[in-house]
Amino acid sequence: MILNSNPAFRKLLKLRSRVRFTLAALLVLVHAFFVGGIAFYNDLFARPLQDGGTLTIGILAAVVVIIAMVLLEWVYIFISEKWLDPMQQKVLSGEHND
Amino acid sequence: MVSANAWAAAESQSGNTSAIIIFVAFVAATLWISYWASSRTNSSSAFYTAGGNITAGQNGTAIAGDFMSAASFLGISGLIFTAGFDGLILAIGALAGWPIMLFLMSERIRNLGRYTITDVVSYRLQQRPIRMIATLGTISVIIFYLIAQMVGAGKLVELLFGIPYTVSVAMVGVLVIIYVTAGGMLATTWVQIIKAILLLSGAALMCVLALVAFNFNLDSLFAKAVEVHPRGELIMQPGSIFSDPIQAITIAVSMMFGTLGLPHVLMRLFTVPDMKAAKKSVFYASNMMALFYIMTILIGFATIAFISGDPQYYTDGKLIGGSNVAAIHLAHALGGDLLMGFMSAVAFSTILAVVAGLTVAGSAAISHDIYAELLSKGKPDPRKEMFISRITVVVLCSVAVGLGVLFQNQNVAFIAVMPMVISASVNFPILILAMYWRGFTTRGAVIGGLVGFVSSIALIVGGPKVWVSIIGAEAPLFPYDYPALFTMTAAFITMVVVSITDRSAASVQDRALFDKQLVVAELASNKKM
Repeated sequence: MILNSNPAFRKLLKLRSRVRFTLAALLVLVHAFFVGGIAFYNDLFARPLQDGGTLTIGILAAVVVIIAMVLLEWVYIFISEKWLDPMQQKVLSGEHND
Repeated sequence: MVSANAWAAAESQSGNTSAIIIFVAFVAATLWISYWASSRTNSSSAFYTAGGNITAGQNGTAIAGDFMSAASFLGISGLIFTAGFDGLILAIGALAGWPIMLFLMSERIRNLGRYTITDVVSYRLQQRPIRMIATLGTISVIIFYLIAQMVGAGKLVELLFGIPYTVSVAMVGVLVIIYVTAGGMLATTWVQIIKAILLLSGAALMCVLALVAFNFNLDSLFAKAVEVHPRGELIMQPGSIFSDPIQAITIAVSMMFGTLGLPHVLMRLFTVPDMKAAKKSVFYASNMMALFYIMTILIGFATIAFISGDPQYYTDGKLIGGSNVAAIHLAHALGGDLLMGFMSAVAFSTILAVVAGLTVAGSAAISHDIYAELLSKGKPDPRKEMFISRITVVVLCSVAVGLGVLFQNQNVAFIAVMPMVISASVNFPILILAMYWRGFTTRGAVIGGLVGFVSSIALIVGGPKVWVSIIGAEAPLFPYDYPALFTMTAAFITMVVVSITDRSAASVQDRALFDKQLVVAELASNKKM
C-alpha cells in the first residue's frame, strides 16, 4: 500500500482521529456528569433552581446534557464537512494521478 | 387482564373508532408502499439495502424510527410516572450512544461493509470464525428484541382495542411478512419514516396540549406533579430507585453501548450512497431523537400531573393497564377519546415498523452472512439467495409470533434488557476493535465475543429479573438488572489479552491486512480501485 506512507493520507488520519477521539471523550464527560448526578452528588441535582420553585438543577442538567450532545455532533459535522472531507477528496485525487 | 378488558370494553365508541380509522389508514398506506416497493426489489442489494439509494434525510428519519420504539416512548414515560427523576437515566443513556456512533463508527462502517455489520468485522479477520461469532451476536439480539416487541404488541393491542393477545401478535406477524417479503428494505424504510413522523407529531401535540393546560408555565406543571405524586418532592430528585451508584452506572453503560451494536440500526448505514450520507443520516437521526426524548421527559412528568390520583384511571388503587400505558392515559386526559385513539394507533404502528426493521436485519444475517458468505463462500446463486432471504422472513416472523405467544404470561422484563446487554458485550467490542485496533485478531474476537455472550446471559439469569422474579429465589446471585458494565469489560479484557498473546499464522495475516482496511475505511476507495 503506497497510501500508508503518503503524507497527505497520514495527515488526514491524524487529524480525523484527533477530532473523533476528542469529541468522543467530551461526550463521555458530559454523560458521566449526568450519571454522576444520580450516582454520587444527588444533593446537587436535588437543589431547586430558584428558591420556592419546583424545577431542580437535575431537570435542567438533563436538558443541558441533551443539548450538549447535539452540539458536539454539530461540531463534528461542521469540522468534517469543512476540512476533513475536502482533505479526503484531495488524497483520493492525488492517488489517481499517480 | 379482566380489568383491562373491562376497561377496553367500557371505552366509548368514538375512541375506538378514531383508533381504528387511523390504524386502518396506516395499514392501507404501508401495504400500498409494499406493493410499490415490490417492483423495485429485484436483487439482493435492493432487498437488504434498498440499493443504497435512500437519501440522508430519509435514512435519518428511518433510523430515528428504528430506535424510537413503543418501548422507549411508553416505557420511559411509564418509568418517570412511577419513579420520577430516575427514569431520565434511560432517556439520557439511550441518547448518549448516538454521538459515539457518529464520531467513531458511521463513516468506517459504511465504507467497510456491504449489507451487514458482519461484513465490516470480517473485512480483515478470518471469514469463517468471525462470521460465526458476529452472526451469533446479531441473531440473538434480533430474536430477543423481536420477542420483547411481540409481547409488547400483544399486551398493548389487547388493552387498547380489546383484540385477543394471540390475534394481535399474529396480525403483526402477517403484516410484517407482507411488507418485508414484498418490499424488502425499501418498504421497511418508508414504513419507518411514516411511523417516525406520526410518533413525533403525536408526542409534540401532547406536549403542547399539556403546556397549554398550564398556560405554558413549566414550573406549575412540575409543581402539580409534585403535589399529586405519592413520593412528593422526591420525584424531582435522583435516588428514588437507583440508590446504589454502580446500578446507575451499569444502566447508563448498557443503554449507551447497547445502542452501538444494534444490527438493525447499523444496517441502515448501508442504505445510503456514501459515507458522507451515512454520517449525515446519523446526525439527522440524533437531532430528531434528542427532540423526541426531551418531549418524552416532559410527557413523563405530565402523566404524573394529569393522571396520578385521578380515580377514573385506577381500579383497586392500581393504574389501569400498568405504568406502561400511562402515556396513553395522558392522551385521553389531554385530548379525550380522539387523541387516545390516535396515540394507540401510533403505538401499534410503531411496533409494526420496528418488527419490520428487525426482520430485514435478521433475514440479511441468515441469507447473506450464513448462506451467501459462509456456505457459498461469497459466490451465491443470486436467485437462490433472494429466495432464502424471503423464506427467512417468513420463518423469523413465525418464530417471533410463536415465542410471543409462549411468553404471553411470563414476566418479560428481562427480555427487554437482554438485547442491549448482548449488543454492548458482543457486537460493539468486536466492531470497534476490528475497525480501530491493529493488534486485534480473529482468535481474540471469537473468544472475547463468547465471553461477552455467555456472561451476559449468565448475569441476567442470575440477576433480580430472572432469579428472583421468575425462578422465585429469595435473593439474586447478581445484584444488578443491567450487567453490561461487567460483561462488556470482561469481553474487552479477554479480546485484548487473547489478541496480544495470539502468535498464530492467522494473527499475522489479521494484523497485516489492517493497513489495507485503513485505506478503505478512511477513503472509501474500494469503489474506485
